[in-house]
This record gives sequence, C-alpha cells and structure tokens, in this order.
Amino acid sequence: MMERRSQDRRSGSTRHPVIQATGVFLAGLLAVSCLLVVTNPVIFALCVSLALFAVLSPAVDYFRQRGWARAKAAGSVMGLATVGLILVAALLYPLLMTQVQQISEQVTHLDQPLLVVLTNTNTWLVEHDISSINAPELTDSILKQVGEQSSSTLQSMSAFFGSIATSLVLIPLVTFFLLCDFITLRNQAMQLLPNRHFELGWLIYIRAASQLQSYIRGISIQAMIMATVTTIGFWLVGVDYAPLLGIMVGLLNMIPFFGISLAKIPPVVAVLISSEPSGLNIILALAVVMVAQAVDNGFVIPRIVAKAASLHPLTVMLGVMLGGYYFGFFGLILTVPVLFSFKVIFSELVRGLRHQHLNVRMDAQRQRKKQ
Amino acid sequence: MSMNSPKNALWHNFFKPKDDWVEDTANKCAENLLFKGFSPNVIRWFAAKMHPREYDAGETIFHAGDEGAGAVLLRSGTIAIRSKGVELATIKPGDMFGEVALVDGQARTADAVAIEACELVFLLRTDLDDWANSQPKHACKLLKNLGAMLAGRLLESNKNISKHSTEDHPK
Repeated sequence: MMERRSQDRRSGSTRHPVIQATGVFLAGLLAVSCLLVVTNPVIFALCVSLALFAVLSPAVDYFRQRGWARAKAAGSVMGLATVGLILVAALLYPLLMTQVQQISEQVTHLDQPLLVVLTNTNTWLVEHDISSINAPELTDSILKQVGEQSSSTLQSMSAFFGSIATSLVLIPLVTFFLLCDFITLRNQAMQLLPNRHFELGWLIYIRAASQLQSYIRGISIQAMIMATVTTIGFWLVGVDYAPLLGIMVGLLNMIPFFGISLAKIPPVVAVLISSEPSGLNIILALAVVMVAQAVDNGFVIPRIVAKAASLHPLTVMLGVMLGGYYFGFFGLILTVPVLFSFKVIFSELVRGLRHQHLNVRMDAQRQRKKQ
Repeated sequence: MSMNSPKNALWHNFFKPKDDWVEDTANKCAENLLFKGFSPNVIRWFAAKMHPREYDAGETIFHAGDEGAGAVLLRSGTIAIRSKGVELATIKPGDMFGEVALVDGQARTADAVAIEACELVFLLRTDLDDWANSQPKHACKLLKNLGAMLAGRLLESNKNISKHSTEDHPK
C-alpha cells in the first residue's frame, strides 16, 4: 500500500486529472503573467514581432525549400518586407496625414451639416406623412455619442500607431532573430518539461501554435482584404478620404462582434463633414461597408478565420468586452487568440493527464495482482 | 558562417551548445535503417535538431494508448517494451522504437519502461514537418526509409502470427 502511494505520488496522480490540469494551467498562467510584467516595456514590440513572425515564416520556409540557409532566407524576407512597408508608408503617409488634419478641422463643424441632413430628413418624413423627428435634439444626441466613441477609438488607435513608431528599431530586430532562431529557442524551452509530460507538452504546443499561427495569418489577410475592398468602394461612390477610411474599417473589423458596428462610424462621419452631406451619400457609404462585410462573412471568414477560432459567441463577446476594458485596442484584438489558445491548452492538458491518471491506476492494479 | 573559419574562434564557441550527445546520436543514427543513404553531414545536422532526455531505472517513457509525438532512439541503457505486463522486446543502445508516431498521431501500442538508467533522444513529428518544409528531398528519402522500416516490422509480425497459428493448429 505504501509502495503504491509512493508510486502515485511520484507520478503526481493522487489528484483528479481536472484538478491537476487546473493547477498546471494556473501555474503556467502565473509564470506567463510574471513574464508579461517583466517584459512590459517591450511587450508591444514582442507582440508585433510574433505576429510578423507568424505571417513571414511561410515565406522563409519557401526560400529554405530552395536550399537557402536560414539566416539568408530570414534576412531576405525581412529585407523584402521592410522595403515593401517603407514604400507603402512613403506613398500613404503624406496622404493619410493630410486627410487626418482635414478631418480634425472639419469634425469641429460637424453639428451644422448633421442638423441640415436631419432637418431635410424630417421635412421629407412629414411631407410623406410617415413620422417626424426633433432634428436639433437628435443632432445633439448623435454628436455626443459619436464624440465619445470616436475620441476613445482615436485615442486607442493613436496609441497603437505611437507604439509602432517607438518600436521601429526593436520590431525588425526581434522578428529577424525569431525567423532565424525560433526553433532553437523553442526546443530549449521545451527541454524544461519533466519526462512524464514531455510528449504531452509537445502535442499541446503543436496544436495551440498551429491554431494561433493560422488565426493571426487569417485576421491579417482579412484586415488587408477589408481595407482594399472598402477603399475601392469608397472611391467608386465618391466618399472623401477613401484610403484612410479603408484602413480604419480594416483595423476596426479585426475586433470581433463590436468591430462590425464600429466600422460604420468613420465613413458616416466622413460624409457628414464633406462639402455635400446627404442621406444618399450616407446610405452609399454604409452600403460599401456592408458589401465588404458580406464579402468578409461569406468568403474570407469561413475560409481563413473560422477554422482557427472555435469558441462560443457568448465567451467571445464577454471576453472582448473585458479585454477592451482592461487592455484597450490591443485587448479587443488579442482576446480571441488568447481565449482559444487557453481553450486548446487546457482541454489537451485535461485529456493527456486523464490518460496518464488511467495508466498509473492500471499499472498499480497490475502490481497488486503480481503481489 | 564560412566553412573555413577556425573552430576554436571565440565567436564560434560563444553560443555553441554542448554537442557530445549530438555526435553520439549522429553515430547511432548512421547505423539505423531510417537514415540509410544520408551523408554524415546531413545526419549530424538532423541529429542536432533532436531532443535529448535522461530517464531513471523504472521510469516510464510512454504508456500504451498515449498519443505519440515522435520516435525514440536509445543512446545508452536498456528499455523494455511491455504490453499488459508481458515483456515483448528489449531495446538496446542504437535501436529506435515508437516510429509509428512519426507518421501520424497514432496511440502507442505498448508501454516502454527503462530497465536501467538510460539516455535517449526524441525525434519528433514536428521536426520531420519542419524538415519537410525546408529540405523536402531529404524528408522524402527519410519517409521512404520509414516506410521500409514499418513494412519490415509488419512482415515480421505476420511471420510471427502465421508461425503461432501453425503451432496452434498443426495440419
């Protein structure tokens, strides 16, 4: 009996597998939290570098298949990506900055055009005996709501781009080393696993990493498709600031659930501050976003994103709300990948430990039979 | 890094990992059917990607029914392969076992227990996938060898089954 207890204690199986998995998971979570606190000053650069690594590593693999050394392949891919980003930034930056300045100036005079649009709408409704609206009161209410929403979104986005600017040196450097040495670093970290959990640890890592990588790649492609489709759409229907609005819609659309609603605010504001605001232009701007979102829902999400994130909608909704509350724009975007990584890690831990628990019990039974 | 660079240069050894197990693993791999037809340089390069582990006597390497992450090559010590408490085989240094897990995530078919303290290396499926991405020709050759190895094991099992069935039901 004593021998059995000591054997059970050695294999850590006296606890129920779910309790054991919860303990291991919480210990891991605590270790990751400590790491996040320590690396807080460079956490943004690390996150962006990891995302870039996930996006660029297939390109490095492509060159390695052609016999290139890892450092040469990583350097070439980083070089191409950097040149591409510089070219895009050089082309778009002056245009975007001019448009941001114009929008900031025009937003202060938003009340008059909005009042005109709502008064015209009220006149049309009364003429057709449909209903009537109190235009000045509605204008105040809309301006208040839009002001609150847009100021918080703009603050988050400016902080986002500000962080990118300050990490410009660190991000390429970390990404390059990840592309070169990620496998070595990963293997060294996995060597820390105890013998009895070595294979289980690897299996959990492989599943979580492949899902996370495909999700990051998926939402990056999704954001680019949305930005391109809406930019072309806004340009075709004659909405001002098409590139800026396209990029904003692409970024906002990355936010699960709330992104669909938030993405409709910038084009409506752009129409209202234009020289000829009208109900038709607002409808056209909204139609562009809706068509892009239909393309997104019908084509992009099922093929690229949905496979990765298999979470309950309520979990995503609450997670995104809490993520946004505690961590701002980053929290909104990172909540889903973090949640499904937790789900994969925990469920695989429970499955693996349950199996080990069963094996240890069977071994003990065999030992008893022998005795 | 240039191939002609002196090996005792400080920068060469600065981050160099302890590679005694790599040499030993490469030598054992060279004698294994899985690495038949590979040059020593390729074998050494691949051996360096493997994962060394040490087990105490009596420690279980894996259990029957566990999902396997890869194959295992024994460097030193002895390992017993058991099924339901019955010993099926003994693994000696240089032998490889559990290679079915390289093909897919099939469950282990028997227990592997260290009879004495042993050193071994894991060759994981993910390493093979990485290799297939970077060196598809080499990976293809290795998969062919793996196929030949598994086919050999299957033939051996069939022979054993037919031998036992002949003994049980003589003509």
